[in-house]
Amino acid sequence: MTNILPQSALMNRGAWLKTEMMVECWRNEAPITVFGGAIYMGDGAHGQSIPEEWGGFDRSDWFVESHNVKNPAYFWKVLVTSAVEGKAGFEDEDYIAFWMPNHESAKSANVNDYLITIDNLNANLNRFLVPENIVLPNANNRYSSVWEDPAGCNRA
Amino acid sequence: MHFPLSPSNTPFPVQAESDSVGQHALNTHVRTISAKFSGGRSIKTVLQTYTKKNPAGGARRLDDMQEEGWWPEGEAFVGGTGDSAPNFPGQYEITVTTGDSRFNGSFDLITIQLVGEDGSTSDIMQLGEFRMRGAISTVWVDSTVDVGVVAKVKLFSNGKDGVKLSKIVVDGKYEGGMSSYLKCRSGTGSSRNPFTNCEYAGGVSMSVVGSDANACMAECDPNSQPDPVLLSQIAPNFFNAHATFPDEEKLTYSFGSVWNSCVTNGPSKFTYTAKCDTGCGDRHGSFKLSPETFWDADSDGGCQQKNGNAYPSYCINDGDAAPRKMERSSDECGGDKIGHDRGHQVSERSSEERKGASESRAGEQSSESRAMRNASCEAKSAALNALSFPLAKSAPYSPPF
Repeated sequence: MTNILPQSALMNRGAWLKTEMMVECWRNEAPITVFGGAIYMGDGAHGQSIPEEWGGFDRSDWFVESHNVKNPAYFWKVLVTSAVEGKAGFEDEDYIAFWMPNHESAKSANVNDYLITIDNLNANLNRFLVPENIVLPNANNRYSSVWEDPAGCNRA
Repeated sequence: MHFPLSPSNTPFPVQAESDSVGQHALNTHVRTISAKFSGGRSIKTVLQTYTKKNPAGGARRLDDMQEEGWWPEGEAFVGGTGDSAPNFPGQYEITVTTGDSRFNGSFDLITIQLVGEDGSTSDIMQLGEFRMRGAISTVWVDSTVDVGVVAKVKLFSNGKDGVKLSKIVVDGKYEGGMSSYLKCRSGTGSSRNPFTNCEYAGGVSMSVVGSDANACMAECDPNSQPDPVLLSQIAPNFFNAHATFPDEEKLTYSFGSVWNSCVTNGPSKFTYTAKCDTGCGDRHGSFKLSPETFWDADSDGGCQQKNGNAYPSYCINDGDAAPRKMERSSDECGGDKIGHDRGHQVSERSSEERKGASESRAGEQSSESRAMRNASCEAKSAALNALSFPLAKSAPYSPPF
């Protein structure tokens, strides 16, 4: 159980799944480097308030008694595609980043709500003492919506 | 030209070509056989006799049976289309093993469509009913399209009785199996509101068996792709200790890395790279604790949760009450009952907790479940299999660091 965390079911099958399916589709177009993590409250909050979505109730310890594992407050993920020489649309590296509450509201229909700029992602991570300094171009920009599946890709 | 019988567990007579299932227009070439022999014996009688004498014999090709003397020499069966029979370049022998667990058998009509490596699709063909758990049935079907190498099969049902076909073999060359149930949930089953659009989500990926075993069926050539972006160039601090959880343990595998915190007993960060899908990775459907050998001697059993059970549900928004754990599924909740999955960080696509949800991933089967193409592939898959947690989706490429 080194790769498993409690994830809101609707999130895991919704917005988070969408990020996974993006990798599944786009990996055939260009190599993808994926990195991300979980953000915890409780011992890791350092004075930060719990997610607004949790409605004032800290869910961090929901599974401590049953599983001895903390319940993350947020998940984040960055997808970086390589440049592919001679391939239209892949002349440059590209990326897309997500910051997502571990909450039932994170359904697939809302996935665009969790897109984040690299600048803001760095700021969020630093708030929780995650020492990231992600260096990517146009760090103050972000896509307005997730990448559409490439033609012919059906991972549904 | 063969004159295929119906599935062995489908009573004769076989279905006519005009049958349909829900909204799926069937092009089923399991033809009605109604000829009579001289002397009045019908094909139905012959086949019933054969079946009675061969209860475990399964279906047979009619021409094979004719050679065995089951009807007078010189008598020929003529299907409904007679001399004007359409051309069926795609003729397939499909052997199906019904799952051996509760609810695996079904009274519903199951149909199949083959998908070729090049994306071509066969006609939608009738497999029949699969009522008996653990039964093995062989069906011969015809298609006006020959799809070549079978990469995937799509399955359809016409009713709400769940079915699970644990193994499907096409022409003895390609095999796969359903990882979860196919169960129609819409419609009432009435003639006016039938169960429609009931397709096994994602289909069943097929791997090569027999002499071509261990073959990968790459969707594209990963060697033709450039290297993934170096993480050290874009997130140079990623590999440094987490300020909050300095006792993180980094676990490195061929596909990437996961850092586990001994404070939270779960992953705190992860990375992997993905290139063209090689079909090398196997899928894992269970949740297991990692052995103590994974961990430093002083980690007291490891930086992981203490069991792989499903997480308890919680009742929220129940008036002014604080969220509370649902000790049993039957516990009353006046608000909203919410659940948590055992969510993968390095993603995986077949975990059982995803079955049946509104945004379900049930039935999804990674093409990575295909067998391996070569020894290297095999070795990589073996490495994946050796993991103590379910992981499959990420391509088994060494991360660029």
